[in-house]
Amino acid sequence: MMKTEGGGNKARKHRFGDAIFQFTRNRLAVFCLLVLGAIIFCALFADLIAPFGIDEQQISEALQAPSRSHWFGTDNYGRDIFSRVLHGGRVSLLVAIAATLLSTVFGVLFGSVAGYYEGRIGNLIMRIMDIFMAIPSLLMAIVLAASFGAGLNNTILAIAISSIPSFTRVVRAPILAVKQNEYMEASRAIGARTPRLILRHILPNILAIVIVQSTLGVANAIISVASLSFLGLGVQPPTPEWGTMLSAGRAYITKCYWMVTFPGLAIVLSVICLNVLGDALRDALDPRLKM
Amino acid sequence: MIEYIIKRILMMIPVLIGVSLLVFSLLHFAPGDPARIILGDDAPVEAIEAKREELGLNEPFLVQYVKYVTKIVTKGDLGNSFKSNRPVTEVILERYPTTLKMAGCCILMMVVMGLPIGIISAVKQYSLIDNLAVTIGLVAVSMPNFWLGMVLIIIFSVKLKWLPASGFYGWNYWIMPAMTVGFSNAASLLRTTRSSVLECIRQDYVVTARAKGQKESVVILHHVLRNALLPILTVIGISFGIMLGGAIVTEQIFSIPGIGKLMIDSINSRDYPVVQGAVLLVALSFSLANLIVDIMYSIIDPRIQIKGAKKIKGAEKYDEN
Amino acid sequence: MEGKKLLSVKNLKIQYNTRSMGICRAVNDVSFDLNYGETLGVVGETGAGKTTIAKGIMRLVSTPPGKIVAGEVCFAGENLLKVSEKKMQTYRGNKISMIFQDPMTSLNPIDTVGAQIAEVLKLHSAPMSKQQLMRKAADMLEMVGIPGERSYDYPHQFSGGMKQRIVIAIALACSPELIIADEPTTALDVTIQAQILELMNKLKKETQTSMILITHDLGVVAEMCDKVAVVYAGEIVEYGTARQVYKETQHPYTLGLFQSLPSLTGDETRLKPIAGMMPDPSDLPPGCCFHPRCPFAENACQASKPPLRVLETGHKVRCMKSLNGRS
Repeated sequence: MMKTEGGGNKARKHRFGDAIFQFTRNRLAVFCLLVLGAIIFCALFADLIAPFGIDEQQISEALQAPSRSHWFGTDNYGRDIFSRVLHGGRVSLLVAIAATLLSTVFGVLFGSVAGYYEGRIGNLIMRIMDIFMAIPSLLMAIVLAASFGAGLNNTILAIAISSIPSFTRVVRAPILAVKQNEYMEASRAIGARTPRLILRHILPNILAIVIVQSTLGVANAIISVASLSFLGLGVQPPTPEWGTMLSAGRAYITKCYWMVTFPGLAIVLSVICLNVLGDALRDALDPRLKM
Repeated sequence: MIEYIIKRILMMIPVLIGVSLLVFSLLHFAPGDPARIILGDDAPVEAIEAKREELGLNEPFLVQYVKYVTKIVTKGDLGNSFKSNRPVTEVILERYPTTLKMAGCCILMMVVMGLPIGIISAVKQYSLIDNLAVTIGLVAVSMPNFWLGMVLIIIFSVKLKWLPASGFYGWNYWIMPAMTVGFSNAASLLRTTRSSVLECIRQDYVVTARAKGQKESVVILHHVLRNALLPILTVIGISFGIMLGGAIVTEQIFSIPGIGKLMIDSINSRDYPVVQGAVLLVALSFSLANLIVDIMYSIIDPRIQIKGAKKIKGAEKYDEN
Repeated sequence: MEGKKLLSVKNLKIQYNTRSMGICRAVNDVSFDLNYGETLGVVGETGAGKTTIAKGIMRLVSTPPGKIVAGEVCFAGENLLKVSEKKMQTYRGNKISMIFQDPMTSLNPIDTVGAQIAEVLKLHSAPMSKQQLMRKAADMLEMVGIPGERSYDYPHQFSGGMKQRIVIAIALACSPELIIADEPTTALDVTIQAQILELMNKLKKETQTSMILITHDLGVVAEMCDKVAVVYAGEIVEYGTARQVYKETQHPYTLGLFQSLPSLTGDETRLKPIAGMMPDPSDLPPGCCFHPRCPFAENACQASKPPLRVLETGHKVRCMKSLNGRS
C-alpha cells in the first residue's frame, strides 16, 4: 500500500498564530501598520525630528506657502506648520489612544456583566446605555466636554464616556451567544466554576471583537478629538493639536490653504491606516465577525 | 402593528426622561455662570445675583429639575432662553426646518452617491470600479467631514470662485454643505451596501434563481438586493437620525442657521434651556428614526415577526412534516 | 423516445483558479450519456466534483474563479457550452432543471413559495394573468403533496422536508426533459428521505423525465438508478448499468465503497473504511488518482493515467486491472 499524498490537515495549534499568519499575507494591512508605526514614531520623537519648536514665532515669516525651509508652510504667527503637525500628532494620538483604552476597559466590564448576569443588573446597565445612545455620540461628547470644561484630561474623559455604550453593546452580544452554546453547559456539567468558564470560554471569543473594535475606536476618537478641538471645546490653544490647527487655519482659508490642508491630511492618513488595520484584523481573526 | 408602535413610543418616554436628566445634570455642573455671561464680566455682583434668582439658578438641583419636567409635561413649555428670553420652543422651531431641509438634501446625496456604486462594486467584485470604489470609500470614511468641507471651500469658493462659502440663501448655498455631509455618509453606505450585497450574492437561493433561467439583472434586483436591504436601511436610517441632530460641525463651517449651530452657540453662551430643549429634540428624532428602521425591518423580512401581529391563518396545523 | 440519447457529455473539464491554492482541477475529462427516460446515478464522496459536473451541464459554474476549460455538453443535439447566455436561460428551468442539496437555503426567504414557483412558470410559459400563474403554482404544490392554499406562505413556515418538496415543485413546473438532482435528500432525516425519494420516483414515472441523481448514498442509487457513474477526484472511475456496477464491480475504489458499508448480517466488529483521503484537487497525484489509497496498486499505476477501458458489456472502468466482482 502506497503512502498517502496530498490532503490531510495540519493541526492549527494556535488560533492567534493562524490569525497573525493571515494578517501578514494582507500586504496593504502590513503597509498601513508600518505607516502607522512611522506616524507614532514621529509623534513620540517630535522633539527630535521637528526642525522648529512648537512656539517658535518668526513674524517676518508668517503665512508663507510651503517651501524648502518650511515644508508645510508657516501659520499666522510664523510658526512652522510641519513641526506643529508633528507635535500635534502627539496630542491627538495621545488623547485618542487614552480615550479608547478607557472606553475599552469599561466597555468590556459593563458588557461582560450585562451579558453574563442577564437579569436585573444586566437590564439596568443596558437601559442606562440606551439613554446615552439616544444622543448621537459626537453630540454626547460635545455636551460632556462642555460640562467638564476644556483641557486635555477632560477631553479624554468626554470622548471615552461617549464611546462606552457602543463598546458595551458590541461586547455583550457575543457573550450572550456564547452563553447559550452547548460547550458551556458541558463545562458546567463536569464541574467547571464561573471564573474558569469566563476565562477559558468567554474571554477568547470576545478578545477578537475587542481588538477590532478598539482599533476602529482609536480611528473614530482621532476624528472626535479633532472635532471637539475645532469647536473650541477640547484641547485649547496654544497646545498644538490637529483639530485646533484646523480651527485656527479656518480664518485664513481664503489666502493660505496650507494651514488647513496639512493637519487634515495628517488626520486622514492616520485614520486610513487604523481603518485598514481594523478591517484586516477583523478578517484575520474571524472572517465571520460581523459588526 | 399599531400596538407595537404604541408600545415602542411609550418605551421612548423613560429614555427621553433619562436624557433630559442627564443633560440637565451635566449642564448644571458645568463651569461658567450663565448670569455672568449674559450681563458681562463687568456687571456688579448684586446684578449677577439678581439675575441668578430670576433664572432660578439658586434653587437646589432637584427642585430645578422637577420644575423643568413639570413644565414640559403639563404645558409643553420648554422654558425660555436665558439670552433672549424667548420661548425655547420658538427658538428651536425657527431653526429646525433648515436642519430638516439639509438632512433631506444630504440623505439624497448619500443614497444617490453610495447605493448604486455599492451595488455595482459588489456585483463586479475585483473589477476596476470595485477597487476604485473601495479605495475612495476608505479615504472618504477616514476624513473628518468638516475637513472635507473646508477643502471644498478652498477649491470651489476660493480657487474657482464658483460657489459661496457661507450662508443659506439660495440653492447654490446648499451644494457644498450637502456634498460635505453626503459624501462621507455615502462612503459608509457604499461599504455597507457592498458587503451586504456580496454576502447575499453568494447565497444558495441566488443559484436557484439562476437555475430557473432568470435574467441576471432580475436576479440582482429582485433576489439579491431585496435580501441585502436590511443593513442598508439601517445605515440610511441611523444616518438620517444623526443628520436630524444637525450636522454640527458642518453647520459651523458653512454658517448654516440650523439646530447644530444653535446648540454650539448656546453651549458657549451657557444658554441652558435652549441646549436642553435642542438635545431633547435630537434624542426624540434619533429614537423615532430607530423606530422607523425597526418597523421597516419587519415589513421587509417576513421572518421578523412583531409579537402580536396577525399570524398567517391556518398555518398551525401544517407544522409537523 | 426510449433508447434515444438525450444528453451526451464529452470530455468535460472544469477548473477553478483560486488565489490561495492555484489551479483546482475539479472535473477532469468526464464523459457519459443519458437516454430519454433513464436515470443516471452519479456516486462519490464529498469533494469528488459531482456538484461541479451538474453545474457545468447547466452552465452555472461561477465564472470567476471557475471556468469550463474543455468539452462538450450535447443536449438534444445542441452543444450547451456554445450557445449564447440568453439561449441558455431558455433551457434552464424549462428543459433542464436542478434540485438542490440544502432546502433550508435554496429558497428566497422573502418571497412566498407560490411566487417562487410562479417565477419559473412566468419565465417559460405563454403570458398569463397573475391569478392564473398563482393557480398553477398552487397546482404544483398539490402535486408534491402540499395543500395549495399554502402558496401564500413563506419558506420559513415550512419544515425541511416540505421545503424540499417545494424545490421539487419549482424544478418540475415547466415539465423539463432532464432533472439534475444534487443530493436531494442528504440534508433531510431518514424517514423524510424515504418520502422524498418515493415522491421523486412517482413523478419521474408519471412525467417520463430523465434524471441525473447525484448522491453519496449507495442504497438510494440501487433503488432509483438505471445506470451508475462512480466519480473520484473529478474523474469517472467506473460506469455501467446498476447491475454491472453493483454485482460485477471492477474498480478498487467502488469495491472499497461497497465494503465500507456496515452490514446488518455478518460478524464484523469494526467498519472497513478506505484508508487515506481524497486528494486535494489543486494537488492531484501523478498517474491514477486513486493509487495512493489503492490496495492493488503497482508502480505502473503511478507512471501513467489509465484510460477508461470499455469491457464487452459496455461496462467501463478506469483501471489497469480487472477485479471481476467482489472477492
